[in-house]
Amino acid sequence: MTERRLTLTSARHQPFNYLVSLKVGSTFLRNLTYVLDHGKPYSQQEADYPKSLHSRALTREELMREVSFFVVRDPVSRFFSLYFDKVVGTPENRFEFITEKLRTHRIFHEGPELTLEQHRENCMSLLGFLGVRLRRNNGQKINPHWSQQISRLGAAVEFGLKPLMLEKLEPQLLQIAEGRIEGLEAAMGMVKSRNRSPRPVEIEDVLTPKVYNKIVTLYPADIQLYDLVKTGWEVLGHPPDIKL
Amino acid sequence: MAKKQNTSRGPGQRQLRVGESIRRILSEIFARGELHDPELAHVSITVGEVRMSPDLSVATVYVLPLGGENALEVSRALARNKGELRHLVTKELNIRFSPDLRFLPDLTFDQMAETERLLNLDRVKQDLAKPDIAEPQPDPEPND
Repeated sequence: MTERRLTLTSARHQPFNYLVSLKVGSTFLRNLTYVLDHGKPYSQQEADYPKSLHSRALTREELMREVSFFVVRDPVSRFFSLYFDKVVGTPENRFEFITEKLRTHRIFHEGPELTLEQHRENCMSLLGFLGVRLRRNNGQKINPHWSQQISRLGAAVEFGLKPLMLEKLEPQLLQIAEGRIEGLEAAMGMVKSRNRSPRPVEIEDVLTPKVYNKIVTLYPADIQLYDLVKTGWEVLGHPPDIKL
Repeated sequence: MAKKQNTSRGPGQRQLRVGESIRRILSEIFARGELHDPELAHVSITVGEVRMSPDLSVATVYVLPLGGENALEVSRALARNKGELRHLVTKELNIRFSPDLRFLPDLTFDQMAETERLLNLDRVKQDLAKPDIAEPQPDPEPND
């Protein structure tokens, strides 16, 4: 019987593999992988980016020998990243299909200087939209920008990928790499800044118990997963063993 | 004169503080895998909340296995190990007494989801009935 394999984004010449999860540091990792492959950061002029990124299908044994990981993010922070980037972000980043839907069926405040209350209403509106999309049962694939992080945990656990936290990604990645990725620290330095969405207001100012409870309702298992990974790293000082 | 007791008040600061300390200690015990019950060996457990009785003698611990399945079985397995857990908690907790631990499945997520479902039922139907405009796909990634 053929051994099962998992396809992951990988560096071309180094034992570096990760499971992509959108809105969970994927742009940072993509840029980092590019630097590991090319020795320099990508520029917008390079037409082959990001298609030049490499992927490999590896067995559990192969993945465990190499630096193989997935990243988790606090669901609250992930939701606001979606909101600031894809809903009220710059026109080139914004998902018009979402704003159109919110405008037509729900509430959507637009403009350069929204009040905190308007942002809160937009967030509740977006969460309502996500609730519908996450409950879809007509066979349509859930958009990976808002799908539950736990939906890919089965593969990560089966193939022994190490869980890292987005907010501590750089030191944790260096720790699990154990010197096996040549130039990793320098490459991180070259990826100048993470792909942070511009934020007109602070999350803490927009977050209300109502918004928080709604996020918890939509992403209960992601809250658990994040809690387990965070507690595990804090207590053990290394990636915890997540059991599903 | 003794103060009149207000029985409808919520938990006091000390109850909340001790409850949170126990929640933290239990989460750490589970993270370190310090329990050796085979039924708990293959499950990751989160502690949603610990509610203390007013006299701090009983701690009701709301637990949930990752993904939420078999919550009742897990809480029963933890109850079987409560002697060992109580010992470990008391060792870490800097208080003179040793609260009794009672484990229950954390139903918060289920209850919130159900409330949400009921509140949004009409809206869901309405929203699902209307066609979407074209939904762009994200950049191709090997795992998507």
